[in-house]
Amino acid sequence: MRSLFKGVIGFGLVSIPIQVYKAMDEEKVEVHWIHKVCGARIQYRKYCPICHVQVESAELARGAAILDGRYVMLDDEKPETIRDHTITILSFHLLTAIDPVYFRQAYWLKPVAGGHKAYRLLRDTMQQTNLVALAELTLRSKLSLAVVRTYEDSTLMMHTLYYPESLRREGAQFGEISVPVSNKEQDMALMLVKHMQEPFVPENYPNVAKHKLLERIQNLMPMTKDTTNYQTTEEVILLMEQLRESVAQKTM
Amino acid sequence: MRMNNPARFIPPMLGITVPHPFDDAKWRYEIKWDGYRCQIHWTDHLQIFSRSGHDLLSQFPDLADIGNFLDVPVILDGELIAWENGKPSYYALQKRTGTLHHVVVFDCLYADGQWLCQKPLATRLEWLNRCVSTSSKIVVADGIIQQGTALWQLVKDRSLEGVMAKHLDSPYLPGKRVSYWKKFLVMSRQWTKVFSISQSAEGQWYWWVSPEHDASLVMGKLEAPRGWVLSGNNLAEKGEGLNSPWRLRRPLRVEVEYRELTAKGKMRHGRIRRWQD
Repeated sequence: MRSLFKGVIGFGLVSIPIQVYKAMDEEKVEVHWIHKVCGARIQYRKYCPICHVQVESAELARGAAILDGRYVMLDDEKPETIRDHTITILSFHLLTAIDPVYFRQAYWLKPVAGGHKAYRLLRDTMQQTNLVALAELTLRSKLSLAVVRTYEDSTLMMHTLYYPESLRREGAQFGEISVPVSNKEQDMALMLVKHMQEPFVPENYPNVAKHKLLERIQNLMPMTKDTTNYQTTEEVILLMEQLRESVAQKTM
Repeated sequence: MRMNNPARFIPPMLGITVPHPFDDAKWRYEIKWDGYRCQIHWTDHLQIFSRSGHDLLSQFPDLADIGNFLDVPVILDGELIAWENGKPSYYALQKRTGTLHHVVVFDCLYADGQWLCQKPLATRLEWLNRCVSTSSKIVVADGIIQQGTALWQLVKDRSLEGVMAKHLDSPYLPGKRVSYWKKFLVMSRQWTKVFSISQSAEGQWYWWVSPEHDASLVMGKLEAPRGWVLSGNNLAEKGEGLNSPWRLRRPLRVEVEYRELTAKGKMRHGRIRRWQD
């Protein structure tokens, strides 16, 4: 596992040096477009449909579409390259107060030399109080909200968050329905749910499709390809060679 | 004929049959393999066409991976064969007995974006050898310059089908039967009938081959091919004596090939090429 970057957790006057690791594997198996005929990987080229040229990077600009279909260019301002990897803690909250809808990507936070004590203090305190930290950081030159919390009593984990305003609120009304439900129906539903309740065992939910695809790829690997039964190809060649040699001898 | 789309079938060029072999320094001689003439198109996807342009790939799905062994887009002319006991077996090909299939490629009509039909055979062969190498189920045909008679003698010794002679300067004329491709065959072929069969002490069945309209003449007794199963209700009566044959209710139609017929009409070096139940 490779660390994404080194940074610090800024907690009041204390800063805790840490390394950040991506916590989740990609669920997709990476596949690429290949030219069937020669097996080379396809390249994407930036092409201008008006000028019919391949566009060099010096001629590229960023543009945002506006309502009339035209674009405004944003290139007067270089995107800031912020190297400040500080996870600044803003406030503490109950985890249940932050709806899972905001959670985006998960990262492991690993303490590095000089940070172990503070790391432990923060972790234990959040554990005792049952609180999680809301923080702010810059990730790939973009400001992002994040939650820092303890995972299974031992390690700090960070989740980047969507900004709350990104939530499409109008969907929240979809459930406002006023169909009467009888007590009996309510009891039935409750009974069914209780009956189906069980502990969550992660191992029970393997990614079957991914495993199948990986197995397919394994079977297609060149070295696993069966070449043993082409002995007959050898026989055809041997026959041709024998005849060629015999012809040569006859005419010598 | 316009040939701008390399994905399309091109009717193969055909040769004439000549009775006798010859030697000529301007000619190349190849073993004539007994199989299905085929045309391999490896352009944007793999296609294998029969002599008449039908799809052979669906009939021989084991050849679906041969594109993996072709590096550049090509159209190849060749022979699809089933290899059995050291030589191509036509009936193994026809009956799909589970033997491995190969393609012996001997001409290249298109390579790497270029049509080669107008180029002389010698140039097309250079392209063939540059673009294709023998690997997996693909075999690039070998050829001998000038010594046609010597090759024919060897082919005859091994009871192979015959020899193809090709003029080194010849272009590829799609769909034409041309005199600068000549074939001389080792074996004669004939459709015959099997009216009777016999069985050896070891249990091997023998087919008694007769001319189609003369059950009284037995041209030869040939080992029944592997993969042939006698249906019990086809046996009529058995003749008198230990070695006498069983008569069949429904005679089999069999194409045989042989080197020559004796004065009494018996086959020499006879064998079964294909049959119909």
